[in-house]
Amino acid sequence: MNTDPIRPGQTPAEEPTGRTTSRPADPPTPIGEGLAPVEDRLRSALDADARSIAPGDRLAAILTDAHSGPGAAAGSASNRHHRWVLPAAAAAAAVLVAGTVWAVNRPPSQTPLVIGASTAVGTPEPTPSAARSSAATSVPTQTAPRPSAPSATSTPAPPTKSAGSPVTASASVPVYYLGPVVGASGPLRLFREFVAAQVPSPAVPSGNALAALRLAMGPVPAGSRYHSAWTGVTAEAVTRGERLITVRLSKGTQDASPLATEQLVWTVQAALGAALPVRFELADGGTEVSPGHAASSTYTRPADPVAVLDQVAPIWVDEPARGADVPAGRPLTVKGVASTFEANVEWELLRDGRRVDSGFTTAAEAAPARATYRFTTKKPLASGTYTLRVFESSAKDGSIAAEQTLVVTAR
Amino acid sequence: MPAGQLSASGSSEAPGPSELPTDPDAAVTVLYEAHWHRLVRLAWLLLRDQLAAEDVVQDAFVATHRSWSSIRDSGRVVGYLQTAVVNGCRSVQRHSVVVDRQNAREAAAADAPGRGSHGSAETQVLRSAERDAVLRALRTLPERQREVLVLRYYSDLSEAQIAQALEISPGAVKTHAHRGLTALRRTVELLELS
Repeated sequence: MNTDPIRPGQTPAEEPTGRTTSRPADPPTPIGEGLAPVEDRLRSALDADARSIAPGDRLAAILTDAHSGPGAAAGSASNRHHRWVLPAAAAAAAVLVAGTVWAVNRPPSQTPLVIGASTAVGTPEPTPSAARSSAATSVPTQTAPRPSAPSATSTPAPPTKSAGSPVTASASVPVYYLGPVVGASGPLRLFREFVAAQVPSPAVPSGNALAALRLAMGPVPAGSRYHSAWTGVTAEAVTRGERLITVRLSKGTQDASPLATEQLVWTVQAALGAALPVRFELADGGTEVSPGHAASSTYTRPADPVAVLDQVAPIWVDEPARGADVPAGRPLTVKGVASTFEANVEWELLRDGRRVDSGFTTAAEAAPARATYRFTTKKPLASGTYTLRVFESSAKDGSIAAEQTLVVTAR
Repeated sequence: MPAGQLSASGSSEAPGPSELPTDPDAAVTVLYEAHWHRLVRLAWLLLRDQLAAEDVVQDAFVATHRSWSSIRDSGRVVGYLQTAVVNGCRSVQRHSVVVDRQNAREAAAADAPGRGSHGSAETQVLRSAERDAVLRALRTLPERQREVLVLRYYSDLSEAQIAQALEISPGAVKTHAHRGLTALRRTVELLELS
């Protein structure tokens, strides 16, 4: 056990020599003097990072799963167990099954596109019948801020040592959209989706971030309730510095949606995986990013959960992606993030406007916290197109308090 | 008490078979109490996706349950769990991740609660730019080096235990550790300059 984490402030010079004495029988590799400070920093970074998560409780799911047998289908055990045990166990089984399929379907060669392997997150490449994903894949990369390499494999990769990592041209990027929390009108909040995009290859974070911004600013996905606040504005570059993210836009927007600037801030921070402050540069010399948002200011997402709730929608769906193809013949596993009263998350699956399956689950934490949820549909999906609706209904009068809907196709 | 001994011995090799119940439900419950959190955190360090980490460790426990009598007889219970978790993480990265999910994961690190830079106020304070830099550098290392470093400096495994968990030779563990640390040294030196 790592019972002696280095305190954050401890300097390498204070490294106690007794650390190794509590180790098990064989001593660790002698590491050159010069590496001791590295060991200390790594140990304390890993320790802190490990503590940043709170593992959920899955004992019941493990026992349920263990007893359901390796061949048991996800939905078959539903009558024997407590309802709240099932989603996790069933989802785990589905993950196992899905993992196997990925392994089988995965093309053996290094292929730059993730077609067919992207069922869980990304949307597939556009096909004539999948018009709704065309917006996602049409992002131009020619004006990327770095020399954007062609997707051929001849370009030398940056000096990472990750041997065997495939050259990529398609990735799923996080995109925040502005949309009403319920129905077609009302105050707009941010919805995060993972969207397939073409990105420079070899992949660089700023390339992904630029692709994400362009999706956020482009036409909204077909069938969504989203609002586009950036018509006519182009994202030109993203630069990540040590302490600041800089986003260069062709100009500001006139759209008065209060969260238009925040939409870009959340998107670029997510795509870079860093909650650094964001500064905007306007190529036309304008002074406002969006009405009321001065270009001279820096912006960041709020940290306080209540302030977060004022900006983001209570219910997000991460998987499956909007418009994704999902495997027919098995239940659908859905994952997302919610911030709802008593953590309640309800769902229904509609086919041709008729409800074919429904249920509820709970997120790991209740509002104002945001926490992950997951569920698996009770029945396997027959081939066809489905509308998935995840929502929160008011305990008082049953009215819908928040929702997210998307269409998937089971094949 | 088996549970006490298990958590006290941590990741080191294991309680004698006689210390763990023969009933798989009881045994898995004891093992879960002692090791669930630490193994999920280990998987998190390798995957950076909490749900995926929990899935992998759950699978490892389920597998342990299903083959309990032979695993118990082998006397290498915790080692079995660790190996299953590391292999499970690798398989998630190979198969489901693709570039796609890696990317989703990076985003999740910024977005989801308890998953990184955008967390509670407490998380914000604990996390320093320095730590982020070290972890980022760790993520650029080849898989084996990363696994060796995480098992060594998070799980505090000995060289022999790492060799066993990864099913490689102790010499290879040494090499991976040294190369990984040397690569990280560059990052740390930069930090010290600033």
